Amino acid sequence: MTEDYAVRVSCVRHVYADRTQVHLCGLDFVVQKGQRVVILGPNGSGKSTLLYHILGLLEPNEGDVTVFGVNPARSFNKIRERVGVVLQNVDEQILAPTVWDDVSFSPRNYGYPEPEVDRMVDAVLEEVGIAHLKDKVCHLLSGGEKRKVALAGALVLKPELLVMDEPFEGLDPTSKSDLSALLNELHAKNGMTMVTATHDVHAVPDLADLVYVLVAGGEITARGSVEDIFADAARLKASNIEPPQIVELFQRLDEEGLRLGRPSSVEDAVALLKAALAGRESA
Amino acid sequence: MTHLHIADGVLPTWLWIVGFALAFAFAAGASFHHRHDRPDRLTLLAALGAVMLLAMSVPIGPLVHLSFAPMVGILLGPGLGFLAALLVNATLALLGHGGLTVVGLNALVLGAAVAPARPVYRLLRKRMKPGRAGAFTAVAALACSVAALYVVIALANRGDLASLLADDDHAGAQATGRFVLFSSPFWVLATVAEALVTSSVLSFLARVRPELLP
Amino acid sequence: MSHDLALVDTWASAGDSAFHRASALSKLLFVALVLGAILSSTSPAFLAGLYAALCVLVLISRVPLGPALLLSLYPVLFSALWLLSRWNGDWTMPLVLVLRSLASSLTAVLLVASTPYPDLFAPIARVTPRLVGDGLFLTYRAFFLLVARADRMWTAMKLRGGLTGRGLPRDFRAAGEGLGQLVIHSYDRSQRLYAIMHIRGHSGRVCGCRHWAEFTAFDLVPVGFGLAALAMRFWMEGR
Repeated sequence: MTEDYAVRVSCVRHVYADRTQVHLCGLDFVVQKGQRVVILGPNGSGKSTLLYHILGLLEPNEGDVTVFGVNPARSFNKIRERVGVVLQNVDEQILAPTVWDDVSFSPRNYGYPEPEVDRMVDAVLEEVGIAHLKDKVCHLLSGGEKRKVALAGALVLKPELLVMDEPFEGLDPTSKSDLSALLNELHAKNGMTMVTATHDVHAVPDLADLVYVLVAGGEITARGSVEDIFADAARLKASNIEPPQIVELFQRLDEEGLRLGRPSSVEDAVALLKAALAGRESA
Repeated sequence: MTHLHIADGVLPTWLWIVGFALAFAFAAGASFHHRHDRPDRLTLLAALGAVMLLAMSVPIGPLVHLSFAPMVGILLGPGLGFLAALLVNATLALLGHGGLTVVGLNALVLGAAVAPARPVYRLLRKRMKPGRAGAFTAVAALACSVAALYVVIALANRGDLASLLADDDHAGAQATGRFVLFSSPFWVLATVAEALVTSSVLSFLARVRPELLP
Repeated sequence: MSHDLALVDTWASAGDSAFHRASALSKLLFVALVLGAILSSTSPAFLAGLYAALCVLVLISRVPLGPALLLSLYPVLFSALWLLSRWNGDWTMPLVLVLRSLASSLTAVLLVASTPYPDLFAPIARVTPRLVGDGLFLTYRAFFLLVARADRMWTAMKLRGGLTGRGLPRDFRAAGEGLGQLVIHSYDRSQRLYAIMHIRGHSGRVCGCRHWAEFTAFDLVPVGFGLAALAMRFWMEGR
C-alpha cells in the first residue's frame, strides 16, 4: 500500500476497562506528510485517546487506524523509528537518570554505534538549546527544561512524524512562545509532520496548517484552516472551546455592523485595523 | 523491624558475605524466573519499590516505621517482591541510610516478609474479606521476617565461623535472648501498625481497583 | 527519611569540591579501603582518629557536617540495641564496635553525598541482572516523583482533619487509604512508563552511564585518603 498520507483514522470506537466509550467519528482524521495538524478540543473530548491510537498504545474496538501505511497497534515496530512523541506529563516520559542518558535512550536501544549516538545526541541538544544540561540529573530540572529534554528525546532520531499531547501544559507565556518558535523552526528545517493535541486555543495559530475540532465523546465536528475554524466563534463555543479574545472581539464588531474582517491572531488584527483606518482616511 | 538497622563493622565478616551471596543467588533466581515477563512488570517493580521506600518514611513510634513489605509481597508475588526488597535496601544503603555491607542480610530479612505474603493472602482470602485477610497476612509475614532477623542476630552472637560449629555457646544464646527481650515491644508495635495499614490499603484497593489484587 | 534522601541527592548533585569531582569508581575504592581499615581494626584510638579525619574530609568537601553526622547516627542507634544485648561489663569491645559504626556510617554518607546517583548506581548495574540494574534507576526516579505527590497528599489530608493523632484507628485507616492512593497512582504511572519505554524502543539498559569511571587528578583525594587510612591501621596495630 502506498502512503500518500502520514496518518489516517476512520471512525474509531474504543471502550476502556471502566466501560467509558470514545467514538472518534464524524469526519475522518487525515494528516498529509509535512503537514502541521492541531487537534483542538476541551478536556474529555478524546484528544489523548486519538493520539494513543496513532501511537499504537490502544487498539480500536471498531474502525481503522493507519500510520505510514501500517496498523500501529499491530506493527509499531515497523514505524517506531519514524515516530517521535512528547507526552503531556513529561515526568512520565523521562526514563533515564541524566539528560544525556535519556536523550540517547532510543538510539542506544536501537543498537546505534556509540560514536554515532554521541553525535546524534550532541546535535539534537544543540538544536533544542539544552547542550549545557547534558550531564544534569533529570529530576532536578525545571518544568520547562524537562519539556525540552522530552522534546530532544523525541527528535534525536529525526522522526518523520512528531506527536505531541498538550506540549504547553504548565509553561508560562514566554516559554510557550519559545517552544512554538522552536517547533516551527524544526518543522521548516526537517519537513517533519506534526500532530499536536491541545485545548489551548492561543497556541493554535502558531502551530497549525490544519485544525480538527473534537467535542465531548470524541466526535470530530470540524476540519479546516485556522482562519476557517476561528471564523465561527459560535461553533467553537458550542464545542465547549473558548475562542481567542481577538476572534470574539472582531466577531462581535461584525455583528454590530463594523465589518473589519475575521483575524485569527493579534498580528492579523493589527493588519486589518491598519487597512481599515487607512481606507477611512483616504475616503 | 523488618530489616537490620545495623551499621558496617559490627557483624562478623563471614555473616555479611554469606548474606550477600544468598541475596545475590535469590535475586539471580528471581530474575531468571521472570526473564520473559513483559517490561511492564519491571516498571511495576520499580513503582512499588518506590512506594515501599516512601512507606518506610512513615514513623510509627520511637525507632519503628512501616515497611509495606507484606503489601508489596501480595501485589508482586515472591520473586519480584524479593527483587523489590533488594532494590529498596540497596537504594537505602546507597543513600547513606544503613550499612553497605549488610545490604544482603537486609534483603533477606525484608524478603522473608515479602515472600510468604501472596500465598498466605490467597489462602486467607478464601475465608475472609480482603481487609481482614490482609491484616493476618501482615502478622504472618512480619513474624517470618522477625524470625529471620533473630536467626541473623543469633548467628552474629556466635562470633566467628569456628564458634558457629562449636556446640557450647551459652553466652551467645543469652545475648540473643536479651536481644529478643529488648526488641519485642518494637516488634509488637510494628506488627500492629503494619496489620492495620495493610488491612486499610487492601480494603481500599478492593473497593476501588479490585483487578490489582490477586 | 524521604527528606533525608532528597537532601543527600541535592548535596551530591550540587557540590563541586575536589571530592565531588573525583570519579565514582575512585570513591567506591575509597569506601572499600576505609571499610577494610575499619573492619580489621580493634583499636579505639585508631577508629576515633579515623572518625575525626572523616569529619575533616566532610568539611573540606563542603557537605554540611551537622546533617551528615545526624544521618550517619541512624544505623548506630540500632546497632546500640544489639550491643546492649551482648554487653558483658567490659567497655572495650562495645566502644570499638560503636566507633566502627560511626566511622563506617560517615564513610557511606560521604560517598553518597558527593556522588550523583547515576554514577553511583552505574557500576552496580553493570554486574547485576538487567532487572536489578534497570530496577535500581527506575525505582530511584519513581521515588522522587512520588515524594512530591505524597507530600501534597499528606498536607491535604491534614488540612481536611485527617492524621490528627486524636483517633489512632481512624488515623491508620486514613494513612492506609493514602498509601492505597499512592499504590494506584504508582501502578498507573508504571503502565504509562511501560508504554513510553515500548514507544522509545527499550531493549537494553535504561542508563548510558558514561562518567562513573573517568579518572582525573581529583581521584587522588579519595584513593589517597583510603590508602593512608589502611596504612595507618597497619602501622598502629600491625597485623
